[in-house]
Amino acid sequence: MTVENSMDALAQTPLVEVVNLRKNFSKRRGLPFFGRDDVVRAVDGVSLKIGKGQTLGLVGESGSGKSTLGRVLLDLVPRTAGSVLFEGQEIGGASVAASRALRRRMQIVFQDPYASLNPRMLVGESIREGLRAGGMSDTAQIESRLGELVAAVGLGPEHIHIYPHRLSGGQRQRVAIARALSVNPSFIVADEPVSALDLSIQAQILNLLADLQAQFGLTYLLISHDLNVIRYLADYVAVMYRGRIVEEAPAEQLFADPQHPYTQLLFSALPKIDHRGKRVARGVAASEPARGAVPEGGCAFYPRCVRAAPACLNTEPVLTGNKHRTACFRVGEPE
Amino acid sequence: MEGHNFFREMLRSRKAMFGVCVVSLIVLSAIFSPWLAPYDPGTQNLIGRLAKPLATTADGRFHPLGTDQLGRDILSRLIYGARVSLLVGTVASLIAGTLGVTLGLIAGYFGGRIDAMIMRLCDVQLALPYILIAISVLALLGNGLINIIIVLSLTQWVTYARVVRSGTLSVKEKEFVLAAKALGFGSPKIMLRYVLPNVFAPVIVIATFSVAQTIIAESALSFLGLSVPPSIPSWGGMLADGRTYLVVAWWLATLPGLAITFTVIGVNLFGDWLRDHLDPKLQV
Amino acid sequence: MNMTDNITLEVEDLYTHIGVQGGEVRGVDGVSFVIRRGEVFGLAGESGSGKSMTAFSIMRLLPLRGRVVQGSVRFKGEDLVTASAERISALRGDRVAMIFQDPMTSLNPVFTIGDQIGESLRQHRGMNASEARVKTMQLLESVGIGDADRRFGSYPHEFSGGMRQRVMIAMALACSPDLLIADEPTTALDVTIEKQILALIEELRADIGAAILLITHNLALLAEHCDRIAVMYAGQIVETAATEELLSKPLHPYTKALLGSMPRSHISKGRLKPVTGLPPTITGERRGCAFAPRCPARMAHCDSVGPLILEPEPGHQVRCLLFGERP
Repeated sequence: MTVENSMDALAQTPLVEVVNLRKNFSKRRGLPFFGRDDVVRAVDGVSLKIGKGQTLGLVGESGSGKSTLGRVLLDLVPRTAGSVLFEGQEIGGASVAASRALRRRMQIVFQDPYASLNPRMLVGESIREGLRAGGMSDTAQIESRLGELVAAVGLGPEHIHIYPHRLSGGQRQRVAIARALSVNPSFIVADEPVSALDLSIQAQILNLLADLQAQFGLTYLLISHDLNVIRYLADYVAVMYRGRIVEEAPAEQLFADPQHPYTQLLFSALPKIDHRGKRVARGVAASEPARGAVPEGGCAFYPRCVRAAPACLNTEPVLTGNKHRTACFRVGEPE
Repeated sequence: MEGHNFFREMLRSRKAMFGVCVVSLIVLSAIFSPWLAPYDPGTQNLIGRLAKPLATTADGRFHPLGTDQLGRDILSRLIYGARVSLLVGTVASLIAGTLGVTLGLIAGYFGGRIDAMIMRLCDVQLALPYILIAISVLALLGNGLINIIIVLSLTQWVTYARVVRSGTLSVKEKEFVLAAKALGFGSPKIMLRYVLPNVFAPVIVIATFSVAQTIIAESALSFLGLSVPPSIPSWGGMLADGRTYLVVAWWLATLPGLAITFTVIGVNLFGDWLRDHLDPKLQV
Repeated sequence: MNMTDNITLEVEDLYTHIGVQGGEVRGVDGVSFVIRRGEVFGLAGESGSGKSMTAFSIMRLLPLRGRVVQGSVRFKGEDLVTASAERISALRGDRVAMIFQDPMTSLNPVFTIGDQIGESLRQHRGMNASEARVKTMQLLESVGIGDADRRFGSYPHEFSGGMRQRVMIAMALACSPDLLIADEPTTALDVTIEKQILALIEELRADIGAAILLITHNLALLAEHCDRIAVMYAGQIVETAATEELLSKPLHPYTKALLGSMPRSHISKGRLKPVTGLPPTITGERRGCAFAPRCPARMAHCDSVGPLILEPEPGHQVRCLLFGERP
């Protein structure tokens, strides 16, 4: 998708919109009755828009909160604050039945193919559950649709009547995708869908995701720590650090001109083989993240930032910019 | 396909086969007592009292395992006694299991205050020795088979609850449960179809041990005279009766004691093997 | 000086079998390679390729059901396969060291890191507690763990993944080994930490002149750090070459397919060329080439004739019938 197309898509009502989403985890420290609660702000005020048919790539490392964001988005984990809108409608507001129906329009594929399928349920049964959840009751109809879904993800009928542990990681991931598709969703959160798979299988699954998107007009939130994977599928990219979005831009722009120091760090840390097979030197590494030493009210990236300035300690940067937005005071300034 | 392998494995294991044989023997004795027992267990024959095993009494009756102080045939009493042990053992475990699994699932899945309440209940239960509970409850309700079963289920449920709760705690965070939530399923369905089957394996093992424990517990209560009325033969009761005669007629107490021992060993061995084989299969 | 003085590790015709229900799996199925002093040698492969098994075979750390059935592993001339248990213990941690994939589980949670690092010093160098402490502090500094004084008495759970891996490196390099085996050392870590860890390994290696066997499925990583790379598939090495050569002129169809299937940041959209099918598990007799079922360049006799290792270019070895049948 070109930049113009993706902007057009956003101009209409986005399919999924997140406004100022927050998720806090509190951990009790110290003695009972006397201790304090440590609050971890896993998702710290995130706003996103995803247009229909688009893929938003969410990049971040461990601790960035990206997986939590995916789960809170689908209401699998209750949010602390903020709103999640699907086709303009808040998903949590409606009645239980209505919100369940709404929820089925949004599905998720998880990272760990070994934990995402019920080990005590036959593969076919896992998918049938989805079909029944969507309201199908006629057995013949269910079986026929099951066959279609299984074929759509590149598996065969021999894979239906067996237990998940007999399948490889890649095959299980296909089953997980088939299950997600069984309720005819419009939106799928793919949370590190290929990280746990071998290199050669990764390519197969990524191709599958791309094909399904074209075939069914799906919208994706693709969560990954791997910039290469993001690049392959994403139209628009958001970079997440410690619960906040620090940069977002159309994919082409982000890859051509990363602006936030953290994004630049991520790019420089990537081992590269350029297409001529030569080694490309990596940039300078920043130090280990200091745990818990994030300055209150300042920029979360301050402890690791090579371009940190005194201003970064006192004020929290917000996303500024037009199509390419960055949350950093030092953008555009000389080194 | 998976069940097929299971049976073959079982046949191959000596441990399992021993357990299965012992348990089958007990079960068959209990079911077919009237046909298997050579004599009526309640018939007294004071002429032939305290006859040694393999002895023939003065009036010409052959007793393979001897007679007790009232001349009743021990073999027959052992065979009939299996009924009580088995009945109490299995039914009490079944009730305890159902109660414990349900409470454990609810505690683990919902967490928070419900979990805290149920766990405190467990703690209270465990703090009291079962004999004490048994005696108190039986004093209230009176003796009898049904009461014994109730009492023993009350003492057994805690283990099930704890194990199922801990399994539930780890399973409910797994991605396939989240996926089920994403499909829009409600809590009861998720608990029954997604969580329970994945925490159930240890329950089967606990059940076998629980049966063994209950049999011993029943024997103990019988011994204390708190179980079934003395007219119904029970192994514990036979033990109690035989105690006074230990020096002169060792077989009165020893034989029922051996019956209890073998039953418990058999059930335990089977449970042992079951635990090893219900573990998720190791893949190549 | 003899050419062989220069060789730290020579693995020749290594075969390792692992017992499973109903037979044996040929985890390592005829592996040979050479690592010279100071060289960084990469072993690439996906899961099930046998690369970790190779490492465990070298260190004699195979699981109970695993055994080396054939071949030799010569460490500076000495065969590790036939060495006595005492000799292996003496060498492990001292001359040959290994770091593992998951830093979360590779450290003993009940001992302080000072204790764990000092252990090999005490064992192999006969240091007493205070000497070991001094050296351990130096090691902690050299792996970039500041505040070494306080960290010395800390427990593994107080550290992040990257820090734990640094501790592992400190442990491995404590006695300045001649060979360091790194089995997926950064797979469980973030990309920014990965960069630091590998830089650290390179730096320390330069200091002590050790040879490194770097095992990972991440070809890009190997491209950046290795002098030579061997690609493994189904228990065998299918191609070995100097890094530049392997990346620019890959010969084996599997290597080519692997390189072609990697999403790379300069390629956007368009289709990836995945390798179809699944990697095999090796049981029973091997007939023909293991990669044949998935090979785009497969020929008629690939299913029946097992390819031998050939050297079409000097220093570039490949196991494929496309290049002939006899060396």
